Amino acid sequence: MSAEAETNDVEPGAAPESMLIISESSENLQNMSSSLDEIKKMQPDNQDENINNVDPDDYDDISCNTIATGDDYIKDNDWLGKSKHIFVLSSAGKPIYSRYGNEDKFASYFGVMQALVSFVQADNDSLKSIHVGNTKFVFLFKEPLILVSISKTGESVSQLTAQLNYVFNEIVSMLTLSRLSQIYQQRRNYDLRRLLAGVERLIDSLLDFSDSEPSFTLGAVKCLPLAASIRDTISSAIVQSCSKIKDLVFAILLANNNLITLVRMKKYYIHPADLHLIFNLVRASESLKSAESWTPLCLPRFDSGGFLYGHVSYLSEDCQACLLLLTVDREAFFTLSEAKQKIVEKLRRANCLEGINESLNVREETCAETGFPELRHYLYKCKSTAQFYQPGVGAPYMSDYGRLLTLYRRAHQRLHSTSRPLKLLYEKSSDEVLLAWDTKGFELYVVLEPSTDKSATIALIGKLLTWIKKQEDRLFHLNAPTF
Amino acid sequence: MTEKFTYYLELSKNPVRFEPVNQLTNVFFDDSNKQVFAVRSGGVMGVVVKGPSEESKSLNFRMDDGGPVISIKISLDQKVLAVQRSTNSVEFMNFKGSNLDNKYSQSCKKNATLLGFVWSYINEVALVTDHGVELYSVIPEKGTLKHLKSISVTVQWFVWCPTNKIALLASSHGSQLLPVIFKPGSVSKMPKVEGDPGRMILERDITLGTLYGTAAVLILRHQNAPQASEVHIHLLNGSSSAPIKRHVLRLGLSGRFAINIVDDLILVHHQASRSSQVFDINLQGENDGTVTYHKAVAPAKSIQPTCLEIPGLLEPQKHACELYSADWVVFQPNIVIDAKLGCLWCIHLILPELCRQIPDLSVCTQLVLNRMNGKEVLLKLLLDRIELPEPPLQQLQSSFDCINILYRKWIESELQIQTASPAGAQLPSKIVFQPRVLITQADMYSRVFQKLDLANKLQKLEWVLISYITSLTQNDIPTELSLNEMLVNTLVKQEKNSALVQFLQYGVVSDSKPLACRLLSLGFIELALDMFARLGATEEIIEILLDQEQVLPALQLAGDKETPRKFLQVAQNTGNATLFHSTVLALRSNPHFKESFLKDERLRVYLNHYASLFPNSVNTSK
Repeated sequence: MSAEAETNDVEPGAAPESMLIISESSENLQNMSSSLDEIKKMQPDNQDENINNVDPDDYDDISCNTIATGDDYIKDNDWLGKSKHIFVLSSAGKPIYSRYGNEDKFASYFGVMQALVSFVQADNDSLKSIHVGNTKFVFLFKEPLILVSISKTGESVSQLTAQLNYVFNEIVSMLTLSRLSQIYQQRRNYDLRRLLAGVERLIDSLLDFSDSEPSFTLGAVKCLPLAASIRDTISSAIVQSCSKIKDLVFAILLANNNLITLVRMKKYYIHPADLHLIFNLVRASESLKSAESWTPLCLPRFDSGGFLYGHVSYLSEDCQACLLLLTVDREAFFTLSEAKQKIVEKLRRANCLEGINESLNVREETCAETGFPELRHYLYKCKSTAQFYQPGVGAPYMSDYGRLLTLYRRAHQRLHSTSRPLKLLYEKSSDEVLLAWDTKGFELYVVLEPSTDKSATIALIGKLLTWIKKQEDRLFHLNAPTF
Repeated sequence: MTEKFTYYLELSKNPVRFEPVNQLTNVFFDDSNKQVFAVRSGGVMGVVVKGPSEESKSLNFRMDDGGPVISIKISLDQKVLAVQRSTNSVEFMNFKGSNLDNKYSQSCKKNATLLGFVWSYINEVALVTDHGVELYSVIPEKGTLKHLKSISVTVQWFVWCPTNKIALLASSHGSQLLPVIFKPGSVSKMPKVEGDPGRMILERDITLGTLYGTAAVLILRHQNAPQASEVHIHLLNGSSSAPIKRHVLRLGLSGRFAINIVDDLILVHHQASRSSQVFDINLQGENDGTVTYHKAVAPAKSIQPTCLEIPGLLEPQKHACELYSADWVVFQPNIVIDAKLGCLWCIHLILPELCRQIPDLSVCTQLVLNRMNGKEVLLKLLLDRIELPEPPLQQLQSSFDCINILYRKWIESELQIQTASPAGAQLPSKIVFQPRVLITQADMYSRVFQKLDLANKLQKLEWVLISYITSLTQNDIPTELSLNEMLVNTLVKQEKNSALVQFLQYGVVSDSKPLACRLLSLGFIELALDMFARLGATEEIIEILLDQEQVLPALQLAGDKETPRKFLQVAQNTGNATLFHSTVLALRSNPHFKESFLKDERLRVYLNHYASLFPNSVNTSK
């Protein structure tokens, strides 16, 4: 227990100020700020545009006539055998999205899902989940959409609900919530797929991304390991190049799903969930590599009512880091393009590009390589900065990272169960020892060799925390630069 | 048919036949040699000696006429014939072939009347007179006798016990009984038999015999009350062999009795009721501190009727012998002679039939345990009683206890013999305690339990086994594997798994490696592992765990003697990469095995396998 007391004070990766809003990943979207209006009010010369300028009536409703032939799927073992299905439908029961297969072919299922939700809703209740054996049917009703997850992965209801929330946010990020509500207020029977052309790809990517990454479960982002000096140089280069540009809210530099730096407007923070959407956007869009892009983007946590405009580009041919400059000014493309050039020049001069490349090219050290042979893998989340670190995956999970994630998800669920949250979990099985520890400052999930006993585990954790503390400059983004 | 089984005593099938008593022929019996003498006309017409069995060779000889014979006995080595024809002397004749020669005689002291004589040892003869005992040494070659020793005491009559060489001298109408014991070349007085003073005892009421190896004087006491006759047994085992009254047999009858001793059981024949009772002084009875009062172990029964074949005119005729006839004379230990019929029988006990008459299994067991040929009978008896629809479990338990107390004594004495004593130390007298009936676990297993090992008798087998094992445990006898295994099998066959767990947990079934292996083969892996753990059998546990593919727990138990290849091979065979990783890691981090990774080339193949599973891992480098 002395180890616990001692390590409580260590809390590696903690920083006085964070660029990320610290909150739980499963938190709902209910209390969304209207940050955009605030920013725009600060900039009175900014023209107030009606961003919801597309009239849904402009479209014909032809696609609804497609005949559903659902029987094909109920006999398709491949389709039935998927471990997780995700469906999105309108509150009227119209199909919007299915992770697998053509949703038109089982439109009747969507009818059933809608019926289930509305039947329960009729009693002023809401349907959360149905459990059948190992299969969970999880429902999320977010006006005006119904999201359903049918999962055999063993994830908990709250974890599955969180994932559905991400899907909803992804849709919102393309349309804004006000637009979405408006469409359905006007026509309850509207087929949203017409507006979401191309978004399906993003949702597919988001689901794959969140299924294969612990960051979504943890509600945190991982930073690219970089020497603190390089990271600071990069940050200051961005600040210097953009300080003159008004309306620039966030500048985000990321590479390979890792955050390099994030510069923000004072007073404004970005939520990890929004950042995950941005990561997903970059991850899913190969086309961004070829040219600078200008894209409207709604960050639902930041402001679900309107768009930010993003200048998205890769730093250079020889450095695959992606820079996003997010502004409320829809006309600022050229200003930002210019600023980007300046940033690249500065970074090149300061040899920061090499630094980034070096970190990208080196495989992350495994626990064994850092001198913890009994330690197979771990996740360390610093709560105050919403950042986490995981070492490289070594033996024996090299080819089976999914199993590791399943373990982590289960442990996370035990720590964050609403009915009986745990502070400390020690689980020993024939395959591994799993320890999960929730303290005020951090969450730690550790997987060890099955032969490790409790005392050895405690000693190891102490050593590990000390090691992380030593490395925190490199592993975490500790400063929160502003314009 | 059933009638046949009601007899538990029988007369020998082939009695010794001799010429019956008639006007010319006198018949004598010598209980030292168990020989019957048929003397025709005082020996002039010839003497026929037969015995002790019909098969033994008979002697025929003639004697010179010297008047009526009072007593006739051949010496213990069958070389000298002694004949008493007068009340003061005995004649001796040496045998030469089947003829007699060299007649010589010995007179007793003057004024003394000769009551009788006995051959006490080879070439030693004792003359018993009304003045005492005179012991002589016979020197057949010289035809003379040499006086050895005399005892002066008033004697009215005497009884001779050839097995113990004890003569009981009676005076004062039998109220004074003095035993004297003969040793080679000597005779000495023993302490008197304490009797009721002033009560007369007749010669025929005295029986001398041996009960469980101890000389005993059995005195028939006729009480005044009807049906209250008793036999008082004085055992000559007090200090300096003093006779002490230990047992009283309550006959519950009155009238004429005769006593035989067969296999240490006392048979009391009652003439009036033509029945016999059986007593065993080793059984428990009412005890007043010094004397134990016994009742007959079984209801009184007649001796089994027997017939004699008498040559007839055309074909042999059967003549039914009259049992308990007035012509019967009873001799010790088990001889009955009908002088009129010319028959000598031995009485035999039909033990199984006697057991049938004893309802209490426990009593019956105690009785049979002391019989010479009781083993087979007892095993059969146990099996029969167990196979009853409602076996007497309580009695069975105490029966097992009786058996195992003896078994325990025997084991102890066996152990003592095997224990080495320090060189030069006085060897203690190591006498094997050999009970008359020894029933070992192997006997019980093969003769009783195995016969119950049938599908419809499992419940019974379980009860009996537990009862027997309980008794063994109470006597600190370790249970043999076969029984433990049988109990386990019985429980398994009945699917009494929780009972099995309890028995193992509380040590009812004692731990052993073979038993643990048996459990393993029955599929009780956890139970087997527990047992091996209690036995400290690490190697076996490791093998089992490896068989179960539990490589890591096995590795935790492994000492430095184990070879790493074993563990690696099992881990590799499972195809579980995680397990293989952990195994390699655990072996490498163990100082015992670390060395062998560097030295043993044979491990290279496993490291290569590891490298193929986990490329670019640190564990493969070095």
